[in-house]
Amino acid sequence: MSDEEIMSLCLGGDYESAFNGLVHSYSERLYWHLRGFVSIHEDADDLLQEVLIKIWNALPRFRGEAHLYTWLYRIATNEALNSLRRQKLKNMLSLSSDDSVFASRLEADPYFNGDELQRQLLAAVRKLPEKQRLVFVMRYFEDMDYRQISEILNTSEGALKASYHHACMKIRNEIPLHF
Amino acid sequence: MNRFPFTVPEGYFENIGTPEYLQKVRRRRAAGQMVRRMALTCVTVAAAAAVAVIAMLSPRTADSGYDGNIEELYIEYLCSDLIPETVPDAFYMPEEFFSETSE
Repeated sequence: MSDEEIMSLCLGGDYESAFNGLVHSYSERLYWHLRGFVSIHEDADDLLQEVLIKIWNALPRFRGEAHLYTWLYRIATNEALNSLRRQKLKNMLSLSSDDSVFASRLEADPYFNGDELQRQLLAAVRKLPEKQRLVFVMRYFEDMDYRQISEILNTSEGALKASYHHACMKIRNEIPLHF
Repeated sequence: MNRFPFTVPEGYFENIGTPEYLQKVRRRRAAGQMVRRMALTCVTVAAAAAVAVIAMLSPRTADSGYDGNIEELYIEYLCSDLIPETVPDAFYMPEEFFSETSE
């Protein structure tokens, strides 16, 4: 189903069909977007369901002013950030180090097939400030262009390029031997 | 997505969008709504209990229906002999003035 068809169903009030169309067209893309932030398959799967619930609840309010993919990615990005903040708070309250919890969960995830360098890269990305992490994940892992990222994050392309540059510098400092 | 060092379980994406998966999402949504309703109920009950405790612990005036200003209350107490005529400013003094053991 094309974006135009989905939007037409949504604006016509047929939310059920619009939602089904969205799920078929966008689930995989949204999953990988979320996975880029949380890394662990189980977390991404959980998040995807939360995002789909949020999309279902928000459908009646969607007016088609933004592109469909922009709207969906914004919902997914916000949900991913909320999840990361909750996880960080949970680790703080249990007096565990966020980094060590993440490292051990990544180690245990059967759906991670990266090498040591990639493990270090993911750990370094996790330490980035929120905005830089967002830009880095979308640019480096998802290969989005700055125009798309700009629409989703509602930030200028110039600011995004600066954020990406700073993110790369910080990651380079974290794993210097390999750069 | 070739920069992602990630995989997914076999058939994962094919499963999304099936009636069973959508049913799972709907159940999760309903469970979330129930949790939010319960949380709201708990917060409301806790707030009501807090208000009741505060009201119980708050000092009361002799006349619980009194809602006049401080000057009117002063006149009322003066006329009712609660404030000694020889010490009219006693009303404004610290509480221990009225203690039997105070000097």
